Amino acid sequence: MSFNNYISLDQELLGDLILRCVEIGISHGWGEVEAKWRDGIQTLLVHSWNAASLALDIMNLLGNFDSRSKKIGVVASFFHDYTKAEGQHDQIDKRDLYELLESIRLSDEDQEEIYAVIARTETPKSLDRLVGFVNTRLTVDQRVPDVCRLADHLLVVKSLSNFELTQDAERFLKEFDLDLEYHIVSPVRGITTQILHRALENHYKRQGFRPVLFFPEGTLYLGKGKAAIPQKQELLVVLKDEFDRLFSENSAFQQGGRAFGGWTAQVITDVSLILSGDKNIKSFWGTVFRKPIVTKWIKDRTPEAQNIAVFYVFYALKSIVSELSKKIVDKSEEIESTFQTSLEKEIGLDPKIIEKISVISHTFSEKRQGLSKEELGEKILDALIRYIAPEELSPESTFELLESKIVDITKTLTSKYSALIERVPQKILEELIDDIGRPLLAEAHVQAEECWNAYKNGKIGKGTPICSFCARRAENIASASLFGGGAESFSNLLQGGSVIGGSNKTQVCSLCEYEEQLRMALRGDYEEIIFVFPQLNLSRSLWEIWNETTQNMLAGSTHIATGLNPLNRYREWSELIVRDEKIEALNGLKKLYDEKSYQRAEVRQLIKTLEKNYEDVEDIDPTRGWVPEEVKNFEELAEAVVQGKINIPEEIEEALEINLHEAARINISSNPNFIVLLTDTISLKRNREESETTLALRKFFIGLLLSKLFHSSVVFPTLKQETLVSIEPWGAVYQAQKTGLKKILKMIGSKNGWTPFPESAFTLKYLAALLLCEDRLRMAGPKGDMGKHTIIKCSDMIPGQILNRYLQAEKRADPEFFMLLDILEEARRKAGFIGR
Amino acid sequence: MGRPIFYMSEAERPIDDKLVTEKIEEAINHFADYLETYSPKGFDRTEKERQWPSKHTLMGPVGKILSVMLSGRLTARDALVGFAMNIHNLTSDEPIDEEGIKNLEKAIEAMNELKTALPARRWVRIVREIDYGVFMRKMASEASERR
Repeated sequence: MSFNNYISLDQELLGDLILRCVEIGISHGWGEVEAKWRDGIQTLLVHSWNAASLALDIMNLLGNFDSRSKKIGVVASFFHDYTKAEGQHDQIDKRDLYELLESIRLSDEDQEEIYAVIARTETPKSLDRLVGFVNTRLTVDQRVPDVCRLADHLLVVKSLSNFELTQDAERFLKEFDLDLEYHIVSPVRGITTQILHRALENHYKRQGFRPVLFFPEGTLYLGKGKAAIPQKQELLVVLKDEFDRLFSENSAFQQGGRAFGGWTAQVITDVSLILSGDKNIKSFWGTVFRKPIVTKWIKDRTPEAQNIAVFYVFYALKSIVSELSKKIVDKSEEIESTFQTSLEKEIGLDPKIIEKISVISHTFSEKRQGLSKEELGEKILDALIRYIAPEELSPESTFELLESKIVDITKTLTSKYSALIERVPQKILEELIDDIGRPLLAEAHVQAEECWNAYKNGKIGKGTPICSFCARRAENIASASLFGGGAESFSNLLQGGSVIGGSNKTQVCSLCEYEEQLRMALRGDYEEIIFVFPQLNLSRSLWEIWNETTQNMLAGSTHIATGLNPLNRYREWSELIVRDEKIEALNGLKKLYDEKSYQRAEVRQLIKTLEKNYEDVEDIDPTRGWVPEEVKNFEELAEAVVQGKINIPEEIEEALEINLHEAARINISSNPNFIVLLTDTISLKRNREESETTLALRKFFIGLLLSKLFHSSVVFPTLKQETLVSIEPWGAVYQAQKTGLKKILKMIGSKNGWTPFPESAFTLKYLAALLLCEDRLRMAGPKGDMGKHTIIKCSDMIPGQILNRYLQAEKRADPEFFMLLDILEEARRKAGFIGR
Repeated sequence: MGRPIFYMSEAERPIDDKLVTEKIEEAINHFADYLETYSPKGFDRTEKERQWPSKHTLMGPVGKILSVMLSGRLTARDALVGFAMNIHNLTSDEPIDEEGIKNLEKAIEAMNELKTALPARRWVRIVREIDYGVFMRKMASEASERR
């Protein structure tokens, strides 16, 4: 894992200059001011930041800009709207601007030049602008003001679904002889959509186009000339490559254990994940053999526990065979016979028992088979012990022996059939291409013809069942291991009051099912999905770092480079927020740009991993085959490895890599278009007893925190499998309305579920105060604690009531507690809730 | 039981929320100022470091006024002030002074104005708001004294 390749930005400009500008923006509160006045959906900070990086992109694309012109262009773009911070639209004051520019340490000539560029970036409507325009002379490249204006005008595009360019933008594009292209994908599913975005981005990049603006539903490119229409076959190949890259780069897909669904439902969520390598097979069986129902064998040492454990191990094995047969339908009989032969060969089972094993499933019926699960388990175990261990063995040894035999049987199946399994079925790739809304593929007429014929022929039979999530043609019944709950139980996706059964069950299309399989492979216990829509248009490489940071924060480990706390450390975050400390990831962000700090972080992480695995340097390389004699300790070794002076042998690197990933739990692919975060509810809750409404409030807090830290819009979908159609981020956080949160949402000025940016800072402070109050009451004991609804009750109480309750339990209150109550009071006053 | 033909509802009166908040603040301020002159008997100041007063002790006559006003047992300003003076003199170390009486009068006036301006169902919330508002104000000053 190397951080060095992340730094692909123009170091001098972005790494230093823009960051200094951003610091000024943050210190002047630009993060709380809206940039667009009519229907503000971006903060001034984000708008300025985007304008600066977009201007740099355009200058790089046009070429032949000297470094001073680039510098002036970037800074002028950043400050082009600085008057909006004070609410003045069209009055530019030279002194105010110079005051802002002071801390960037620019020469007087440069400051003059920036003023001259800003004066030219908008049509002079006031005398001020006109004076600025007339009295200044440009010495930099004459195209700079127009580049800044084009960047500003392109940022007016808020969504690609309703794409519209301003007349000025069109004029500038023509002037610069630039062409604009964009792609749209609908609906936004999650990981599969991210892959599709990448494939399309690759297509445009190959045509010489540069991605400049990222939206959840697509990407906007600038380039010269016309981009060719993508061919379906060509796209299929690119898509497959992108999927392969995801599987090979993401450690989660190298852990077969993630394919394990659970005993009560379908055990295997994705058989191809298990069979894609020996490492995965081991990891899968490691998970199965660590399940409580199996380990009871060793713990209880009773025959009952042993028998049932053996039954479940063979149930998992049989599930692999069944899933394999489903994937390679034409070879199902051959697979079954290979399986039976290997059972006979490896474990020495007689044909009668093998026959019983072949009917094992989660609906195994004692009545039908004439023997119970325990009896079958006993028979298998007896045969096994007779065959593989005729002498007396301890339960531990038998257990280990069985595990190795089962792994061998699975490997036999892999060696024969893994080549026939497609990790991504061709059908999925083809269906995913249907999600592309623009550009129309070269083969679009074929699809149109099919549609027309279907329309002409009309309905045949009962009509087509549609997917409950995306309205595509449904092909499968939603399985409980993937979608939760039983397909036979009622869900909100079915018609209210309808009788469930027959064809009236939750049905899904293969794409939604595949998306769910990918998510489960990344995180098997995921219950919550968070979509983070970045407002910053940064390069793909930088977003990978941001994604890693957010992942770590949710996973519960402090980010190694930025030192940011995990998101669910509510108390730590809340204390920072109520003290009005700037929590934007500025300090962290500086480090994100800084290659050296990444190296330092990498060294630290490597030392930690080395210490965990080895005692000293001698222990890693006793013969000093690859570690030079002068390297005495882990610090020196890590330093040398990170600087590339020493290459770690492959087998050791492999072991270290696993540990690095395990420590960080990086388990998702990133995309500048959006980030998908998967988490479970337990890590968001403070205790298991908390109500759903409290959880919703905690999610709301985390959403606001993410939005603030990463300048993003955060969406919590109502259903975790929900696909998103037509996304226009209208604020900091979107959360579906919940009755229990009605008062709080009203108090914070939530509009249609969105929390507007200007209100987001105070809302975060209010929620932080609420969380800290709850924390205090809970700590105060039973007299203070109000059970699982403490937060919700606090939000409904007059601050004096909270104080009274706290004093009854704690007998005294410190000034900090009064500060929290003051924040709650301020929120009530702002919302006009006093006396209501 | 048949369905009612007529519903009775309170007459819609336009209420200026800003004015309501101001009046509540006014009442809270005057009550809190009055309580500065109220020192409950039996509350041992030497014990101050260890013991915080209960809400009942801290609010003294103000708590009584609020419950009487809420129930509607007394409404006239002078009657309420007289009621409070009596409690004050019985429960405080020091007898009530002129400034204290003025503060009580102003607070009660503000509350009476609210009572006439608002529908009856909001009155309960207003009284509760003032009750805990005064308590919080008084406790905050107690906390800063002990810092």
